[in-house]
Amino acid sequence: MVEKKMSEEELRNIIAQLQQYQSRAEAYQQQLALIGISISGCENAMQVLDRLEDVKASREMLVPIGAGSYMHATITSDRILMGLGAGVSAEKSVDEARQSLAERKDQLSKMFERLSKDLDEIHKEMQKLQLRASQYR
Amino acid sequence: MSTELPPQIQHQLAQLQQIQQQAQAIFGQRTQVEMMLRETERALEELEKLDKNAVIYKAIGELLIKSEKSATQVELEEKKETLELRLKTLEKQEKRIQKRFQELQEQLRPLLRKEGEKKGS
Repeated sequence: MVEKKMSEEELRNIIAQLQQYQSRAEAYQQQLALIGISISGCENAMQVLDRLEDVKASREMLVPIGAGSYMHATITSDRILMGLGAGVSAEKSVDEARQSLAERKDQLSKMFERLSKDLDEIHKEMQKLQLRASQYR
Repeated sequence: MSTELPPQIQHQLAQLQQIQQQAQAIFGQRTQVEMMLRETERALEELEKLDKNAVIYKAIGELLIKSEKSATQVELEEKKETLELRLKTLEKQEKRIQKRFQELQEQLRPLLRKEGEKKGS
C-alpha cells in the first residue's frame, strides 16, 4: 500500500492546530491550579472550625499579622463570617459554615475532576497530531 | 519560510496573526466575565437561602461594610444584568472576529498552495 504523502500545507495546519491545543491546555492547567488552591482553602477553613471547638474554653488567641508576627486577640462571637462571592459575606453559625464549606469543596472537586478529564482529552489529541506531524518527510 | 513569500501574502499572514491575537484577547475577557457572572449568580443563590435579617457584609476594597440583605440582592441583580449584557457583546465580537479569521484563511489557502507548487517545480 502506498501512503499518501503529506503536503506542506497539511503540516502547517497540524502545527496551527497543535498551537491552539497547547494554549488551551495551558489555560486548563492554570484553572486547575486555581481550583486546587480553593480546595485547600476550604480544607484549611474546615480544620480551623474543627479545632476552634477545642479552644472555646480559652478565648484568647494570637492572630498572625505576617512575617512571623502575632497580635493578641479574643474571640467575641461564635458567628463565622463567610464569603459568598462577588464581594458579599454573611454571618453563619459554625455548623452552617462547616456545611457550606463542605458543599463548596465538593463542587470544586467535581469541577477539578471534569477539567482534568478534558485536559487528558486535549493531551490525547495533541499526541495524535504530533504523530501525524512526525510522518512528514 | 515567510521571507520567501511575496509581500502581499506576508501582509495577509501578519493580519491573520493579528486577528488571532484579538480573538484570544476577547476569549480571555469572555472567560473572565463568565466567571464573574457565575460568581454573582452563586452569591445571589446563597443570599436567597439566608434569613431576611441575616447579617451581611459587603467588601469595599479591604473593608467589610455591614449591609442589608435586600439592598445587597438588588445590587447583585444589577451587577448580574450588566455582566449579562457585556457577555452578549463579547460573544458577538468573538463571532465577528472568528468569521473574519476564517475568511482571511480561505483567501490565503489557495495563494499559499500556489506558492508551494512554485517552490516545488
